[in-house]
Amino acid sequence: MSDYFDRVEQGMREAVRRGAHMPWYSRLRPRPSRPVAVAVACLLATGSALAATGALRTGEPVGATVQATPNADEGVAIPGSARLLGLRVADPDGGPPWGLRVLRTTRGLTCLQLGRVVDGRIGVLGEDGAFDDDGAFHPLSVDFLDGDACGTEDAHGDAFVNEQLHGTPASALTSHQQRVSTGCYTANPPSRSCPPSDLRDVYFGLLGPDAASVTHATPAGGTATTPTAGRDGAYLVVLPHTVMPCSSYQLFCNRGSQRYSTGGPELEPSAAIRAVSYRGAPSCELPTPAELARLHLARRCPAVGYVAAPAPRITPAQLASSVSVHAEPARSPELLLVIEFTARAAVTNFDSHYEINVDGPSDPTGPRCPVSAENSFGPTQENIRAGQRIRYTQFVHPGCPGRAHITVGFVTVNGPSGATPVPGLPGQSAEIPVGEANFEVR
Amino acid sequence: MPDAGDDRDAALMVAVAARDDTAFVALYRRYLPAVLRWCLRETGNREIAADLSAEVFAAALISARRYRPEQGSVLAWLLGIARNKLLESRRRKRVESSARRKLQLEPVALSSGDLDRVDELASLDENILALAQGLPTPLREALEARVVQERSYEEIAAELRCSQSVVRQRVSRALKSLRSQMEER
Repeated sequence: MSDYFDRVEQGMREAVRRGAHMPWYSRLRPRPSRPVAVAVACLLATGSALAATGALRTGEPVGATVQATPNADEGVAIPGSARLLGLRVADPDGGPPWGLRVLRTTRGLTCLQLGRVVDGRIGVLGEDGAFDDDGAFHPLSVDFLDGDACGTEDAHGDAFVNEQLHGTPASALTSHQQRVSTGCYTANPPSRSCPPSDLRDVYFGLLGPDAASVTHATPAGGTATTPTAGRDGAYLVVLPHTVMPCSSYQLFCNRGSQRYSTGGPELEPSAAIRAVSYRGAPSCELPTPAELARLHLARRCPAVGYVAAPAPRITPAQLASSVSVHAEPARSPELLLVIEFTARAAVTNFDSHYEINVDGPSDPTGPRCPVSAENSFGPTQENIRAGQRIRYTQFVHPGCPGRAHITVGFVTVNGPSGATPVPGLPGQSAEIPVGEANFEVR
Repeated sequence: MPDAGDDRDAALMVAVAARDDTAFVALYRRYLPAVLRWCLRETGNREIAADLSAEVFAAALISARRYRPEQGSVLAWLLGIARNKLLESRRRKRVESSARRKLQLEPVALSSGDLDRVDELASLDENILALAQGLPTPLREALEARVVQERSYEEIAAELRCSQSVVRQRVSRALKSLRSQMEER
């Protein structure tokens, strides 16, 4: 299979392993870890001075590839919120150092962006085919937001985000930027492949204000300890890309080339990070690559220092709303099921959403039914006013008679969370019931 | 009456619902070509078809425990999900991703090379492969090596002693020829 379909398969396979497809209440047990491929190579010291960066011409900026809206999905970057962290890490082949930029979005997320740093700006190099090899430096625009490494903020405004990129181009071209460029991206597919020497394995993130240092692997097989940067507890490790044979413990392992990112608040085991020390809390030790190969369940480092905001005291009674359902004509032969309810609680950011679940007709055995039972669900993905009437639609087939059962719930973030709301997972509340309804499809 | 294949699929669905990832992989690989072909036919866009097919399998994964073999085959069930996802995507003017979000799946980027693979996978059908027997030998060899045996263009080119671009061209022509034959049926 192709790389795309391989990666889709791997992602879903992992979802099955951790039971993500099961109801939330059946997942209340320790989740299997997601051991990451081991690949250790040359680690370059943070902050090492590097070559001539002033000679680089500035090319067109890397802008947003998707027109985002301030009140939906991840939102947009808050003007003036982007700040380049002081962290600088040398690239194995020299050139401008790597760095990180943090920005906040209009929906309450903190996002972390990786790039090469030139003259106090972060961006992408026009090399390895990127931007037609124009040799210029392409700064990330102020509104650039790829939404990958984002997390919700705690009560003190701190975010906990960790990301791992295996085989990312040395140009710093990321997946969301590749559409605007001709650059090579990963080792596969061959048509867009980078030479191995142009790939990097990069580990970066925000560990919070309590994180003091990160211990990481060195090329000689030892370890080095580097202080985290600033209140963010930022860290950044850049290594040459190392291809390892696939094993049953490796995920996203695609014929020796991988790309894997967590984007989550917990620090996953990896080839590079061995331990995190904290101020006033015990250190977190992560498995070595050798240990990882033997483990089924590998420990992670939790979001130490996360300060939970007071949980909103919302009761089902306060949220309760009648849920109305009716059908409207749609593209023949389908009917459009229109589900409406009143949102009693406002949604002002990524910390909460409504979840609508539609269980398809329970007896879809009609002679004209082209399919069997199906169901759908979906979070509201935008801000909502208290009292706002919500309209959600779902197609049904009149040839599949039976009862559709609709439930609406409200979900809030109550702990460290990434940018994917999932009811019942750690960091997210279970669905607080809002209402339900049935609809007979005839 | 359900055949042995249906029974096997039903057993796989039960296993998937019970967190057996190998069962999911078996189903995914078996039905991806058919689902992808349907998505491609309905959308006419390889990128959207690939995106949509991923969403279909994610939704199927979540709904696995609700699958009842007496209500129809797994393929019919998958295509039903595909139809609904397509309609919903058209309404929202973007490919649905709610199932993948629910599963916390990382977005998977699609490259230009993957688009060729969409064509190849969508052509992977027993009936089509039967038609392939009537292709000129160079085209059939290239097609089988790439689509059935999943070998790299580089490897095939080395074996057939031609350039990779020639192999790509042969695969492309073979697919085009097969599509033409299918349309005439």
